[in-house]
This record gives sequence, C-alpha cells and structure tokens, in this order.
Amino acid sequence: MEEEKAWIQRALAGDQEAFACLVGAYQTAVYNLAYRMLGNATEAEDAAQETFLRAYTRLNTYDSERKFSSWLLAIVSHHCVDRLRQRRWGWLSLDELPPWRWLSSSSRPEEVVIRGEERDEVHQLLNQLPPHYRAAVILHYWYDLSYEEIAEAMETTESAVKSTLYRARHMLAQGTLAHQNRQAVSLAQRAVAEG
Amino acid sequence: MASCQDIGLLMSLVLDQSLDESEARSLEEHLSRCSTCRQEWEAMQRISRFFTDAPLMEPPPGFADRVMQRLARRQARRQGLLAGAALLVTCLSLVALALPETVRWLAMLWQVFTEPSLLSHGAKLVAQLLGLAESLARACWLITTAPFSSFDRPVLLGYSFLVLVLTVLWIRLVVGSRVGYKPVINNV
Repeated sequence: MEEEKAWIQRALAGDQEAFACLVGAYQTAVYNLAYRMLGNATEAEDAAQETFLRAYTRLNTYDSERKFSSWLLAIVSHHCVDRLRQRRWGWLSLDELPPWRWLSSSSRPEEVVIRGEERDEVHQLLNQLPPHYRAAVILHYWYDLSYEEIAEAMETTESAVKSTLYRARHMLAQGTLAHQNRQAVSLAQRAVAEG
Repeated sequence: MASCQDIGLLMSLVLDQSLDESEARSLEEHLSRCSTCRQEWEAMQRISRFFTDAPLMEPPPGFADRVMQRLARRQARRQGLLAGAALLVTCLSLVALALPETVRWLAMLWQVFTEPSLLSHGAKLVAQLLGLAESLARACWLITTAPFSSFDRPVLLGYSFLVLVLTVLWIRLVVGSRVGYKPVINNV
C-alpha cells in the first residue's frame, strides 16, 4: 500500500515510470473488467488502455482515502458502459440468442473451461444483460467487491446494487429456464415424430 | 406470506451470503412448496457457480508497454498542440500590436502608388536621363576628337557652352520638379 501511494505521488509529479508501475500492478484487473464487459479482445485492450490514459490525466482528482483499485475500476466500468451504450445492438433480448446449453446440470463450469469454450459462453451470458447490470455482476463475481464497494464504483447506493444483482440473476435464470423448456418441447416433438 | 418476487430477492442475497437466519428459513419454507421458485433457485445457483469459477482474463503480452507508448504519444501531441497554440497567440498578439501602424503604412503606400503624377514624373525622368546620356556621349566624342581638328575647335566651344546651358536647364527642371512633387496623402 505504501509503495502504491509513493507511485501515485510520483506519478502526480509527472513521473511516468511510477505510473508504469501502477499500470503493471493493475493491468489484469482493468483488462479483465474491460474484456468481460465488451467481450472482445481488441476492443477490451483499447478500452483498458484508454482507462489508464484517463487515470493519468485525472490522477489529481483521486481521493487517497479511497482504494486506488476501486477508483480505477470505476473509470473502466463507466467507460465500458458508455461504449456499450454507443453500440446500436450492444445487448440482445433474452429470446434472441440463448446461450444456455452449457448451463444444463450435466455441464459443470470447469468442464466448459477445459473444453476451451468458457470465454465465448461467459460473454454470451453477460451479453444478455444491460450494461449497468453487467458491470455490477462482473464487479461482484470477478473482483469480490462488497455491495458498498460496487456502489462506490458505480456511483449508486448499496440497495440499488442489491436490486441490480437480483434483477440480473433473475434475467439469467429465466433465460436458462426458458431455454430448457424449449429444449424439452423440442425433444418431446421429436419423440412423437419418431413414433 | 412472502411473494415469489420477494423470495427471488432473498435467493440473490443468500448467494451473496447476506441473509439472516429468519430470512433463510422463510426462503427454505417457500422453496419447499413452490416448484417455480425452486427451478429458478437451481438456475441461479448454476449461473453463480459458473461465474465464480470463470478465471480473470490476462492482458496480451506487452500491454503495459503499449499503454506507456500511447501515453507518451498523447503527451507529445498535447505538448505540440500547446506549443502551436502559444505560437499562434504570440503571432496574433504581435499582429494586433502592429496592426494600426501597418494599416497606416499600407494606406500611405497605396496612395503613393496610385498617385497618377508619380507615373508621369517617372516617364519624364527616364526620358531626361536618356537625353542627358546622349548629350554626354556626344560631348565625350567631341572632346576626344576636337583637339585633333582645328576646324572643330569653335564647334567644340559652342557645343560645350550649349551643353552647359542645357545641363543647367535640365538640372533646374528635374530638381525643381522633384522638389515640387508632393503626393496627396491623407492622414490616417
């Protein structure tokens, strides 16, 4: 922590090497959030780079009472939410693209990861959520942030975070169940057709 | 009795380990008799496990270097823009300072060059210079040849007197007219 504060102080004085240390320390956190939000490696790298440039420019607005990581994650999530809102088809409705096959009870997440399919499927799942739901889910699951920390990063209240997480989970669960029902109907129709 | 929507919120809270004992009992009770909520609860748990097990994505190699290169480029561009802006402001301020004087001089020059008397005087001046050159050439020729000819000696004296008179007249004419030339210039 002391080292981090020293880097921040030196970066504030214009020392780019100190800022490079901060980039090295937080590059995975920033890139992962951008990647999970945007679902595209090229766009994620661009968004993550832009985040660090904005952080450097706005470093004088950083409140040292806050966690630096929360401040940085707030910049990434806002930037990615803005990018997603600029996309015409940034997220699709639940019925348009059902990625639920891997969520059948026989398919464990670790097995999916081993099959090398995890990246797209996590993205397809997150892609069903509106941008700010997506940000809350990612900050909760990948960064293990408390409601308070997520609220701080998203500039909202703790109760709004609880509500957002519930709505996101509800949307995803309903999507899963709808997909399973469609599969069951399809299987039944096939069985009837085959006699 | 809690509604299915209230129970949905409790399911979400229990996944975050933010549920107290009485709420947990209420959830358990509801799930034991509501198959719809039970299905949703199982789906929520599967999704939650899937996200929990998904790893952090590492940035591609060289990411930090690319960030710093982009930062350096942006800083250089910003400094270039600042320097350009400073130069522009400096030039504009100098122009603003010099503008009244420049306008006055330009107006004066414009009036000088558009004054018709300048052209006519110039043409006269050139003609007179050519005439003078011709007279001087003739004089030089007479001076160099006259000493060798007794016939030309009175002619030389006469011609020298004539050249002297003409020269005086030309000087009076030219110098007098130049001194007398005053273009009309309005004060700006």
